[in-house]
Amino acid sequence: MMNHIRNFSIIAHIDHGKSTLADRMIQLCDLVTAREFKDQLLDTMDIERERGITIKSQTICLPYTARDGNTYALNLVDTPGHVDFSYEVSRALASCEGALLLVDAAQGVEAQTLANLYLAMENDLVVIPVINKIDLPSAEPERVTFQIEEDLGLEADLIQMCSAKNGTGVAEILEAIVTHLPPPKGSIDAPLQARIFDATYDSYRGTVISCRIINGSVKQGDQIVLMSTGASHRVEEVGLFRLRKEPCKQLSAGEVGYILAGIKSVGDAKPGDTITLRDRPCAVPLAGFREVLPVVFSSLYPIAADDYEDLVAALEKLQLNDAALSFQKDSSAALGFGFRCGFLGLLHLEVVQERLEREFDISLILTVPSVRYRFTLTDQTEIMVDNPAHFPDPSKIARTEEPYIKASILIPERYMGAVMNLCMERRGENTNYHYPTPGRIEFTCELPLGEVIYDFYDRLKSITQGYGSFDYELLDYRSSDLVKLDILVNGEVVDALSQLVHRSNARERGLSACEQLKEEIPRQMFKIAIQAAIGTTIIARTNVSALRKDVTAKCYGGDITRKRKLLEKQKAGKKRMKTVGNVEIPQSAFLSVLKRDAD
Amino acid sequence: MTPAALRRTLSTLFIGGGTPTVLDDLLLHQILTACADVFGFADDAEITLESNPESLVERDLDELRRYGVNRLSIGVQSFNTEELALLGRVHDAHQAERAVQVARRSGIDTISLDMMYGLPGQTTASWRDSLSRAIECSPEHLSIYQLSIDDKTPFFRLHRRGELHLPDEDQILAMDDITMELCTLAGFEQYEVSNFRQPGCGCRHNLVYWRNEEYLGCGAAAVSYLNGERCGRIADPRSYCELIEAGTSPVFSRERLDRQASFRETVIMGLRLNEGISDDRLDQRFGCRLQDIYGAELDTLSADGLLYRDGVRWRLTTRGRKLANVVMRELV
Repeated sequence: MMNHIRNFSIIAHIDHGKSTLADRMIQLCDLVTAREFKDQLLDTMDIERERGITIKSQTICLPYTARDGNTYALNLVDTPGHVDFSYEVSRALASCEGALLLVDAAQGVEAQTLANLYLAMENDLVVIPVINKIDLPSAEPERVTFQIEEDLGLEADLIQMCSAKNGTGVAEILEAIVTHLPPPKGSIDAPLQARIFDATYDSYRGTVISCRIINGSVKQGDQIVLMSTGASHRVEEVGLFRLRKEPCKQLSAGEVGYILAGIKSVGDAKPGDTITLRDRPCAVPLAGFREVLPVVFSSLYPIAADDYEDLVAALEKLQLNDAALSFQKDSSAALGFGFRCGFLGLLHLEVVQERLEREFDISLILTVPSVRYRFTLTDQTEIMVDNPAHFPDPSKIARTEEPYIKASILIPERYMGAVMNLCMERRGENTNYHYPTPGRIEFTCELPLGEVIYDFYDRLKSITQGYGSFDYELLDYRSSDLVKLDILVNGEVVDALSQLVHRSNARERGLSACEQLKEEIPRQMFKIAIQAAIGTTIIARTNVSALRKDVTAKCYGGDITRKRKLLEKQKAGKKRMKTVGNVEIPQSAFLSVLKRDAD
Repeated sequence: MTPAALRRTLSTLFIGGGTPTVLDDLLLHQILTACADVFGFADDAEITLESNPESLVERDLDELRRYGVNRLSIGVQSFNTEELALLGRVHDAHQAERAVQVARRSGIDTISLDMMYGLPGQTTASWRDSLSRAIECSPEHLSIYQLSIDDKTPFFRLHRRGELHLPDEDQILAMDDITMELCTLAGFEQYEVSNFRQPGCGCRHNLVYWRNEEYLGCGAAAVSYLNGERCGRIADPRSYCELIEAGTSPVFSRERLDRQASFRETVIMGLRLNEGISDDRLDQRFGCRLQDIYGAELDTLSADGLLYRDGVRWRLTTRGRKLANVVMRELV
């Protein structure tokens, strides 16, 4: 039975063709008729594409009749793809025996591929390199083959060439999966041990747990226990991921499938957690589980105050499917009522923002992201602060601490100097490095998390031309010296732009914020002063000069509609601005302060 | 064309957009004859032909005049040869001057020159020189446009790369001052954001657009506004011809605004005119006045010194005319 199962993931950089390859495999596996494929599958894919970034993965079980005449169950375990979600990726990969490393024949190996390949190697997966898009005129399969062999140290004779777009080579990939990837190991007779790698929310059926059965089996009516919390639930249904969820009698060791057990919230089905049976529990949970905690905090405000109720509803709805998102009420003098939200990282924040804006049509302003700081006051009380608005009176602070991480950065040797500089700029300590493969350096460094959430990943990608991959783990809290940096527009503090920064960075951050705002705040009929201040001391300033001419030169019969629509669009844009004092500040200005100058 | 449109006589005709003087006399004559046959011209009809200097020089303008053309709009743009080259114009300053002289001598009643400022590399001195030379040609009408950098144009791409050295806002405002100074001195009156006339010589055709009244457009990309509906025709000339020859409508877009949107549009178009907009006229046409549609906007704009009320008329102030888009963004 287990000999006829293969569990695998596709590791790929964004745009390297992961969904297209998955589509082709599905077509070749006779899972559906062509008609169904068009009507159902592509529709869901379109939505995914529309969203740009997918957090939630889509897993599918493909029946494949191989050239040896046997039918195999190929479980394609999908993974989200970004450093913020590396823990989720690692849990998905831990549910597989192998992975396809998909590389674009024109683009070559990229950072995201590497980060995930690294995770695959940690999980001892067999990796089949696949070079895609060989039909492109700019394809350089030889160069990419060399890269895979030399830079990644993978076996060249396993490399598959394909064009997912026109289907070339896809059949060979399916065959290679059967031939080269090992079948799962495990014992059907042992007590149940299943690893949760994802959970989604279905409004009719509750939480849908995606899991890999490591040992034992599970069926309808079983009482399961989620080992991290000890919570017990009765199984309502188990099944396989076909195009839709397809119920089956039981899931056994080696299989990938879903469990419905009336679990109300996805937050109760944590990735990496172990499921066992109440009546016949396993001795120990599977290794590698950890609680996912928010580390980045930012306040979200609706641009239109009447969107507040919609924002509440939208956040609640998002949280159903995104257990890592946390939120609580917040308010700002400049922006009114909003929510203080916790995220896994900056990308997670961006994804949530994007979904709120696109799926729920709520225009938002975000405040500068912050980590959670620890202050010991002179009366020895200890407070945790993740919101600049709650920064204590500086004269009452006895001790300030901030969270540190251990960053692990994988780069080709030639970028060593640049990465070292970046880490020093960001107050890095205890740097170290070693060579996991020739030509490739693993650079480790202890950094304040607050420095990392401030565009560190963007800068890393930029200075390493996309070759740097990055992962981190939280270490501890260390002593620090923080100040609250305020931004004033025409003399008024814009509380939503305040940030907590290390004293040594304050001037540079203040100047950078002033410069960014100067670019983003449109000229108005009067001069606008933008200042950065610590307490009452101004440390940086810029001006936006007054607008003195803005008129359309030509407007005749054929221009009227277009000019009117342009004015209407600009008028709508003005409505999306927040007025502070008498200055209109666009959403983009609030966002610009989140990023450092692109130098 | 709707039967209703066919029942109207033409009080103005504007042959323009592109360079209609590339058409030979025969074709122009055919167009004018067809207009006369189908609609008929009013006795005092204004018939404008748009032209470029280089296409005028070797042309028999008497012939055009006999066909009924009584207004000539000439795209001079500048009397500075370097600026003309930069704009991709084939004529030079000298040709421009000759073309205007030729037109003047032909006896065509009204001559209008199109001029541009805010050009890359232009200085206040070169603008003063260009505009002076335009005025020396004694045209009845001047259209004076500030260069705008539109998306998807070569200038836009250069501008984005920072390779276009446009005059800064201070210089533009100084050029505006020069324009007002020279035009006023020569007896020109500004009657629209970019248009100046000798007394009684305003372009009646264009006034129709700014007063948001009705007109018929024919040809590729032409727009009509008839019976409250605005129709745009397909812009590609070849496709336009194919559709016409196949007996298919070339209308590509239609737009009918509700009363309030139409009111707002009339307001923003009318504010381009120095005469402004008359509350009485709006009331006759839409059954409402500015205060009925706008609230605090009028007070704010007035307080900011951009807009003022003069009897039954609302007008832009001198400052408001320079910041017209700020006003229109509120009122659109």
